[in-house]
Amino acid sequence: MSALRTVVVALCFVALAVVSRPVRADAVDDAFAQGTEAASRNDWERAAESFESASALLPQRSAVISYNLGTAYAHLGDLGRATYHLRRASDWRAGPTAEVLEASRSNLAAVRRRAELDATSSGAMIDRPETTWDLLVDAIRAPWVAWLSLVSGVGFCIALYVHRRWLRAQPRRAGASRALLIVLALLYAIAGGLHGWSVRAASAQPEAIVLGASVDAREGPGQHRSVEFTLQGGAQVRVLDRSPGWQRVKLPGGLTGWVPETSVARIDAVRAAPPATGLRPGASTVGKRGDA
Amino acid sequence: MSAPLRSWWWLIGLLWLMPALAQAKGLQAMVETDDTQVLVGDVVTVDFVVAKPSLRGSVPSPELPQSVAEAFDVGQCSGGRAMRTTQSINGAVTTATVRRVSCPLTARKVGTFKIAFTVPDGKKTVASNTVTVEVLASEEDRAPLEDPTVEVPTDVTEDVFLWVSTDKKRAYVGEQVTFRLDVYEASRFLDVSLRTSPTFEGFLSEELPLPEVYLTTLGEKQYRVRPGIRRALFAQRAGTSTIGASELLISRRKRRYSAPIELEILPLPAEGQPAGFSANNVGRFQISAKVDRTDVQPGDPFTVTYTIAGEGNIELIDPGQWPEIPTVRAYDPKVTTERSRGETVGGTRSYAFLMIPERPGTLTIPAHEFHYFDPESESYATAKSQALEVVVGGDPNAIIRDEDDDAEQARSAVEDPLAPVVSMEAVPRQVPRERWLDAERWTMGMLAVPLLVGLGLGGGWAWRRFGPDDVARSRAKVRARRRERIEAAQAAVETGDGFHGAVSALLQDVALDVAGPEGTGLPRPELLRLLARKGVDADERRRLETLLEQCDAARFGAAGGGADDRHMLLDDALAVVRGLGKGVA
Repeated sequence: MSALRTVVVALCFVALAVVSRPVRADAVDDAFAQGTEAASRNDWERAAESFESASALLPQRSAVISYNLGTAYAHLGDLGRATYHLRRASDWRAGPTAEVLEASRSNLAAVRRRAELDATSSGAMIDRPETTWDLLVDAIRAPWVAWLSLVSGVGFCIALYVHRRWLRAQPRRAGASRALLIVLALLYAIAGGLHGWSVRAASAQPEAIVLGASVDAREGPGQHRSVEFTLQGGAQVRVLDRSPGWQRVKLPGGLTGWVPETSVARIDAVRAAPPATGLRPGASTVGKRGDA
Repeated sequence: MSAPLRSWWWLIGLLWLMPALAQAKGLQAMVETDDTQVLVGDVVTVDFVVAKPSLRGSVPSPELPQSVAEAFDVGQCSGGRAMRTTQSINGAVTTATVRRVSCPLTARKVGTFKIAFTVPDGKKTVASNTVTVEVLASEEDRAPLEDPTVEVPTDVTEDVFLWVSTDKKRAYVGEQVTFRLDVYEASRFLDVSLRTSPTFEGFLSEELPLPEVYLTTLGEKQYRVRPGIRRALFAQRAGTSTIGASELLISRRKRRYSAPIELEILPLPAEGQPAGFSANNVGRFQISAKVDRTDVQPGDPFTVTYTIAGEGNIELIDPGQWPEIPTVRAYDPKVTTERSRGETVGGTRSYAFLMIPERPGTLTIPAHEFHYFDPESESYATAKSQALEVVVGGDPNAIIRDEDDDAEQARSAVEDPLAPVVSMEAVPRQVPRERWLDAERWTMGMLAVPLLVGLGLGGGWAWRRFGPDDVARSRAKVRARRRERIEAAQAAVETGDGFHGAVSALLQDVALDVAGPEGTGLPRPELLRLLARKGVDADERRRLETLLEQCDAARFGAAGGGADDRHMLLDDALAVVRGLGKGVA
């Protein structure tokens, strides 16, 4: 009897494990389909709700959902969240396809122009456009620079051993061997140093996007502190410091101020920032079914 | 008044009395008070003091006069014990007996009251000094100033007092009224503070800069005038508006009050008032307009700035409805205000509009006008800016084709279109994948490189420094070769194939090792003689020669023998090798 019970319980577990995954997957796809259907009717609020539901149900990042979500927010005029989701869509961790990457960059450029116009008319501060220096820093942070520096280092070790073991006594080959050693050492030191500096700077001051239309940056953490300047929604900032409920952020130009923690969102976070006030992704029928 | 403060005043009074008492022959009576001006309901503490310049005899208790009870409610009096004191001033010793009674008196009615008392001194009656206490009505009952425009007081007797004034008694709604509050001090007091500020109910108020402290003479006294408050007031409703009284606290015990001020606020005249006129537009203003660029392309933003300047409540000015330009997209203005510093509120207020032209051609920014009420001329006036022109470049023919488009199409021509959302059956699932070369692995790998190089170079150096030299290396080589020969002989001992050759080579090597480089190439007899010269004893040489001959015989003749013979030969050879090796070492 006891063995029979054990078998039944085990079968139930197996059935649950097999059945639950498709249900959850269907819920994500249903929410996504509802979103695209609402978007085709230009019902962008409903579309954003559905895409938020799909994003909340999916345990990992999805470039497609982030892209659609960013586009929906762009149509709603929420430039902060539009920028945030479009940036996440073009991030390599979300696995964007070439089409999604291109569309994200195109929409991001359009949203950026609108944010710049809004900033000009309202006097809010926005980060300056990307310069060659920013692109260079991004390139230095790329994985191929890490590989280059590491392989150069290992190559230097091997070349040094060969040089000392066999080539040192051969004047003809020793010159070429020394030149190779110098090149490898320079690659190891310069590429490695720059990559390390870039990665350290990025992890110490992570990038974040200002959500909402505009956010007041204050001189200290607290609503009673005076407003130093106003940040435009969609502005890219770096997080310097934290205090309960507050974050100290810096614009690329150097302006710093304290903003409420929920008013900025990190691009590299696994889970997306919560939806805008007024949107209720959890209230959609798809979301409920998926949760059940 | 608190008990410690009273005892402090008692001591001060006593010290002040001592010289007088020293001069006096009989009883002295004195009245002291902590304040001479109070409101109805406030408490004033009055001390009744009787003193005698002697330590002998009794001092009568002071009796409260009847007049005090008529104007004040008398609280629980304290003190009354006679105290004897002795004081030495410049060698002269004075003594006195003092009896003091402190009574808290609560002012009951408005008026000026004199407080004095008498005490019997034998057959005489001694009268005290007289203290005058002025009881004022409470704030709500206080009479307002008759003429608040009097900026400087004329008839004053107090050493410290408050003076309030306004620049006018009558003003229109929204017109500036300047309020002034000054503290006059004839002598420097330690602690003078404004305890209650005046209230400005019904006014919008703006702080004005305070002037410096100055000296002035009123009557025969010189006063230091400390400007306390300067406010620009803008009445918000017609009728009678009151500026409340204020209270000055002197040395934390005396108080002085200012009278309230009543102002007559007139409504803005209905005659000639423009439609939708804002009551905040009172003063004198001008308006100007400017554009930051006069030559732009469609879609290029430019800024039109309207600036209103003048005197009045500039921050609340209502500029009216801004002009609409059909072919331009205009954003909400960025508003900045710059206040002027001075007694009259004013400054400039700028409205910067970001505009984006949508079509080529000459764009006219129309003039903007707004109305205000000038209180000096008591009439309405209009300020108007000039019209501006901006040339928008581009192909004018394109306009003709576009003119039929609706506004939405024109707008979308300027706005960047968004790429559509992506539609698909199923959302692709990305298995979360981290890069193999993460920051930690990269750091470890990068640190390993100098570590490996360091270990390699260090190890090489240590080997050279502490490793074997040439002699040791050659000895090791010899030992290795000898070991090889022995192993070859041992391998061949059972079969006999190549056994004797191996043993012969072993013995030859050992002999050459002992003989050194000069033994190389010598025939056997010469080699044995050389060994003799090298100190190898005769038995060993003989055994060597015998074994070599046995090997030769076995190799080149038929005297190979069996396995046992080979074992014995090998043992003998090894014994010779050991013997020669020892001899060499």
